[in-house]
Amino acid sequence: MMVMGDAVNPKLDLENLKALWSYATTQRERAEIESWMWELVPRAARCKAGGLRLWLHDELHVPYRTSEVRTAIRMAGPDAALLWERIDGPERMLLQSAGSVLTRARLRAIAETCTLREAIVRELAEYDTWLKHETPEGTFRKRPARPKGFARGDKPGRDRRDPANVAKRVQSSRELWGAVRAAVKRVVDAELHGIGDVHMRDGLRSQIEIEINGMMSLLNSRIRNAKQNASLNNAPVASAASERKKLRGACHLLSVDPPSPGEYVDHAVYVTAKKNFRRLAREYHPDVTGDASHDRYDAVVGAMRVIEESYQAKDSATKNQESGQHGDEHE
Amino acid sequence: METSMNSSGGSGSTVSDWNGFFRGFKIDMTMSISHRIAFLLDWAAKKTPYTIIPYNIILKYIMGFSHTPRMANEDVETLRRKLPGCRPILQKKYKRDIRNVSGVGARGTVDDLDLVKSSLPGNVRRVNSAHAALQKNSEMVNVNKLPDHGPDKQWRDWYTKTVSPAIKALSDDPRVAKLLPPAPAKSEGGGLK
Repeated sequence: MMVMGDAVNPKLDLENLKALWSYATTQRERAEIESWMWELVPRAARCKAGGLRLWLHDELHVPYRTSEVRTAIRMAGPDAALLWERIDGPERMLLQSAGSVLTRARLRAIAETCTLREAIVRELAEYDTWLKHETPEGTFRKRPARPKGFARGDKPGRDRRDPANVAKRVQSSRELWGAVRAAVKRVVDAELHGIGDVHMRDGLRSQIEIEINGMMSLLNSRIRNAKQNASLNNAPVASAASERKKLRGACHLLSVDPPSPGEYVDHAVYVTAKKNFRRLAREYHPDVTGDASHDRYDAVVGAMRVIEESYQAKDSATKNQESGQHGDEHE
Repeated sequence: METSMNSSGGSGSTVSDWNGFFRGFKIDMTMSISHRIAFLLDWAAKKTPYTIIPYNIILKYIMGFSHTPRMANEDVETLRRKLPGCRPILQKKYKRDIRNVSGVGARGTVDDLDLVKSSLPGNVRRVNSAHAALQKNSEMVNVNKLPDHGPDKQWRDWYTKTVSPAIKALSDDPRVAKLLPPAPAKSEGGGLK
């Protein structure tokens, strides 16, 4: 192809560029042609929300994510040459993977105060250690899966399936992103005051948001991994998990709601459990139903014991807390 | 339910146990709620007789939820109210009665003996209670004060010719007094071992 490195020929119109784009054999060429096309797009279309991505999607049916990643890598300039080599070379790296590498490299460059090129080299070195997967569209590498056996839901608020926790998480996430967007908008608007190009400001703002999002997900994953490693090395977690499982089982058998992770059985639940225990004991007592239900009766008695233990543990924990507070006051 | 009712750990059933218990359970979602409850109770009674299924577990499996609803859930309350509605279906279609352990859960009766032991005593107690109430009210009625003419005369006739002889026959019949179920054997249950 002759388009690489050439200046835009003013005689080329959009239709010619579209034809050229369809004959392009590499992603890098497509990215270049897309940028040229974008310069020829009427101003009214350029100012629309969604910008280049939307226009490419409408005109050439390019998926949003694909054009976004291509543009991001093109914008990175010569620093991203290594990525283009991977994408268009024999490795046939998927664009999405390259985009992820670029995002992580940007964060790494900030964290390690190095250039983007160095950060990309380091990220690619790490990327090469991951497991390779082949698809008809290209190849990608996947980070090794987390080791199994991590006790989820042992700590308060970790039960991700609990609707209350889900609602809380969504709410806090919305609030956080609202604040971040407002801050980014404030900074960008202040910096670009007087320029008046809405599209440019929107593009810059969305780019910053994407980078912050990537940085936060990276931080979250690192924190999660660190916690996970700490939990796996911590023996009491396993026993806490089995205790929790036992308590949940007991609560289900006596038809009461199990307490939240890390909490004890409260008084109301204990009273209901005792009432239900009496009813079930009447049902399953060997004197009433014979020896057939002996196991069931034992299970019910065992369940009530587990709930009583949890209830008493709550009492003792409260007393310890109170005595600790009194001790502090005396000191 | 071997896993849920084992006595080794004393932990009773767990969520995973219920999942294991209902493995292979398939229900036709086009059926009405009452039909689905009846189907589930029949299925459970066949699989492990005498196992009481908590209300929230019943709801989970008849609605196909992936999570277990809490007992305080509004839908669980609705299910509790709907449970008696499945009794006629259970009786007609599956030849079982429903054994509802208030506040805990429900199960379908297993066999004739279970039906006699768990359902009939309640029915008989209700008959006895109704008989006692009938007798008390009839003792309060003074026949001479009932109107012997006019449109209300038919009530006096109904009472004197139908109700009163029937009450007398029921009271004189020793079989009514004998209807009450046998007293349970002295048990030491009810408390922790």
